[in-house]
Amino acid sequence: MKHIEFELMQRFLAGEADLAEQDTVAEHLACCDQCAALLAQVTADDAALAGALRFDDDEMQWLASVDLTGPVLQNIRPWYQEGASLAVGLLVLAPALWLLNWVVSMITASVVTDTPVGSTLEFLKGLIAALWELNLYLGRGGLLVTIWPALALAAALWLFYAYSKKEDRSNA
Amino acid sequence: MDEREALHLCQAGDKNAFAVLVRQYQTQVLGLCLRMTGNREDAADVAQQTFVQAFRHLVQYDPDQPFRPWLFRIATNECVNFLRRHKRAPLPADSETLEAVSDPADGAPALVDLAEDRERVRTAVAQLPLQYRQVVVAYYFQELSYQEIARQTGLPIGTVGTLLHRAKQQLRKLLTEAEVNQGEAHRVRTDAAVPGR
Repeated sequence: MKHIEFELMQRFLAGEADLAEQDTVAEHLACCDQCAALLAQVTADDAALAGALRFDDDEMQWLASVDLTGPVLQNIRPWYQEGASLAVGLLVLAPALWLLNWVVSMITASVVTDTPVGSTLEFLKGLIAALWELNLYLGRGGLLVTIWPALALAAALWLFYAYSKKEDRSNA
Repeated sequence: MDEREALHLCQAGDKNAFAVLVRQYQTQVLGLCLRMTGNREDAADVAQQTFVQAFRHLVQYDPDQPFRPWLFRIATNECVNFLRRHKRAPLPADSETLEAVSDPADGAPALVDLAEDRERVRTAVAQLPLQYRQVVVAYYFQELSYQEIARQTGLPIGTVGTLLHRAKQQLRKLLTEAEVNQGEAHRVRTDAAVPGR
């Protein structure tokens, strides 16, 4: 006699077996003591696992004592503050990229390119130059074009944020 | 304020309305995080991050769908990301090792005998590979159906059953090893306590 596969038994117990599988299992269980005993054991195993993972009194007390409301609300930043952070990030990134490009150019000018160090620097220079080109392309014309709209956006968002903070304080 | 109203206000950016949802779900989310991370401090951090992420992504939430599964999917993802970041996610044992542990049908020890010590079971669950841990916690702790687990974890429904089966095999292996180790430690203590041995 072919016994029920363990995985099918697990699905049967979870109520996930389809109708045909349920019939097969039920028919087999009616005439196979070995599988019936195994089913009882798997049921007991599942109950033991579920029982072991349930909260005990100590955990229940801890769960009841934790209040996440304050820390969560403190960590939620309004969209305009997120936007301001992004704008500030852009502001820092553009000159940093320019500076890096300049530093690497200075170094590569004084290093022989057929050494491993030289070729690595040459590669870095190429990479930075490509990023710089991308920055120019995105800025549609140069550093200032990238910076000033970002600066204006950052200033506007921070002002909005400062105003809403003041409102919050006065409401409180 | 009921959940629907709070959700509506939150989607309009009202932080204070979100406090209602945090209060309503924090125990359940904390519980899930506790079982996934196995540590209270980490659980509190991950649960907090879950709510922050939920608020940030509320614009994408469809109010016609139930909120709880949506929130728990975020919580599960946050737990997985946390455990990956902190490298607390062991790889699954290879199938040969698992076959060696085998199923109760082949005479392997019953979990019911190995699971008497709750702390040992929790430690073993915390040692499971991520995907196994996800399905074990969802099935035995949250008592979700395969379909709900699939929705929460993003796994195909057919994979849930297979993972659960393998997770139980690996749990059996971990619990058997823990029992053997405890037995040996006990024997060493007894030997040391008997003079002249």
